[in-house]
Amino acid sequence: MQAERTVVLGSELEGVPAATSPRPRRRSRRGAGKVLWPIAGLVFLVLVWQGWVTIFHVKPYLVSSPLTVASYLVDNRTLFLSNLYPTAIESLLGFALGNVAGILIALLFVYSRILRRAFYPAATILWTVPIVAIAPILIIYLGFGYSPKIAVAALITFFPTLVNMVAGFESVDPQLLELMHVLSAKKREIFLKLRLPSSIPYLFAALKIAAPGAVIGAIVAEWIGSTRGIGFLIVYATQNFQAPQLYAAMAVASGYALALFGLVVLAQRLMGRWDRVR
Amino acid sequence: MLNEKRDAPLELRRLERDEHDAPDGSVGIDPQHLSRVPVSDAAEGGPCIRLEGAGVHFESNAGPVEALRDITLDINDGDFFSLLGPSGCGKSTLLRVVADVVPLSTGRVTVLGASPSVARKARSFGFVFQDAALMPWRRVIDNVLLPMELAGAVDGAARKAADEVLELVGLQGRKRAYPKELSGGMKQRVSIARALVTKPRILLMDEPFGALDEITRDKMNEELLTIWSSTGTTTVFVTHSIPEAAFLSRRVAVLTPGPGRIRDVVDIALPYPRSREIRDTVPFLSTTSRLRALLAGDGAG
Repeated sequence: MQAERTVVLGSELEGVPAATSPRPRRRSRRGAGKVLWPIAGLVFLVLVWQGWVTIFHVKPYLVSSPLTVASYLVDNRTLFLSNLYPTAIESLLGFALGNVAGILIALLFVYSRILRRAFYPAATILWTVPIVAIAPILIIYLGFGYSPKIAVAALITFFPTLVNMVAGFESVDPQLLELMHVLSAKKREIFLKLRLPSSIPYLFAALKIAAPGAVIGAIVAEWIGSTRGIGFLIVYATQNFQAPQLYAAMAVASGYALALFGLVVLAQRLMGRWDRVR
Repeated sequence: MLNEKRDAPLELRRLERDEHDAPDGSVGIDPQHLSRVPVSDAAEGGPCIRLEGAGVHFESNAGPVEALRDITLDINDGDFFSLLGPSGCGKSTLLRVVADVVPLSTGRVTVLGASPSVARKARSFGFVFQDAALMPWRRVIDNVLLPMELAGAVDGAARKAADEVLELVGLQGRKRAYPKELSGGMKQRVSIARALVTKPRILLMDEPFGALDEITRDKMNEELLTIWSSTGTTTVFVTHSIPEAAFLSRRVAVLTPGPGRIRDVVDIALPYPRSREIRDTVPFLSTTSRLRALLAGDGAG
């Protein structure tokens, strides 16, 4: 370790490329641990759940065991897939709509102090209104189709993205702003070459909140008024004391939200070079 | 030769200069091929940078602050000129006045015979910041190419210029690296390369080596002198280090705080080229002790 350090320091002084550090190898070992430990934790929790239900003979209509839920899920996979489809459409469109609106309005707020002063509080108030209160209003107004669900999902994703992107567009290193001024950069260039890349880490932080948020939004809206979707399945199962169906619907919903989250993480990895801020 | 083009539109002049300064295509470590015909503005009358009774006032939460008062200064073409003073004496502010970042409240400033804003738009100066100010998402080469991108297009000539300045600062082998993979000294070299890529007439440096360890700093000082002598770029260097100012400069303005004023401008009579051995000689030490005495004179140090 000591010897390696000396080599790197020495090469720096001579202006020679530094020797390759042992970092990649260490990272791959840590990478395996990154996957293995969470899986081990999950398996452990599922085993505890299964053990609890089996050992204490918990009534199946109160709590289903993981095995029961799994077999119910496999037996009724077409039911779940056909109900996942509308939820997926609603949450994806809501996710897109809410994020685009959040980013665009963040841009307006960053470039216009007046708009920001006037409407940032209003946006905050909108965020504090319980979504279960807004959803029925939207359903009354927009009907029973996809649109109110998309609207609710968009509403849930909008605010965190707005807040994050306002912070992101303003998170610019002041020295870099000064540099752009000294280099006579135009406003458009300052945005494209400095503000936008500086905001990328904030964008991904926002998208990670928004992805599961959009799924929750779609399900809440379905829950209040629909005849299809995971939210509908949850209501139906609850009202008919169908514990395995309820648990399976929950598993499908959280699996889907997790997949969306994973896509965001994957996109972040692919855009690695933009994510090197700080 | 260049002076004939003085009347041409600035944009055109810049392009023509690039063409004029095109290297001979030779490959090698010799930084000489970046050199160009020294431009003597002084011969035409008027120094490179001139400040007359310049003052800067800020509005702060605690009321108005006078950062600089009555600064009168001539910096000659091709000079290595340092602004030396303690923290808060306004030396960085003075540099930013020249760079068209901070406006003057009183007095006059001219850069190459025009206002700082004209000089900035003509890309007449490069600026090196205290902590490198590199874009972390850009590779070394793309950081160096940034001024070229903003000046127009990144063409073959721009890429060649970037390669040359990277060679000049000894980072040719690291052009594909990201800033976070570099040491502090290397980052600052990238920053110097970026400031020089457009071949500016003036190089403005704001405590560029202030965050480096002493060994790296001494080495960077020597390299900077090599670059300066090979490019002939007029250099204005802000520092709070007395030995650094003495080692590098041909002239040093000593500033005192509250409000920032020039106490004296000292000619450093040591001959160039200077190497690190000079730091242990009697003339060098008597220079530093004189600068130290000037700094302490106001009772502020």
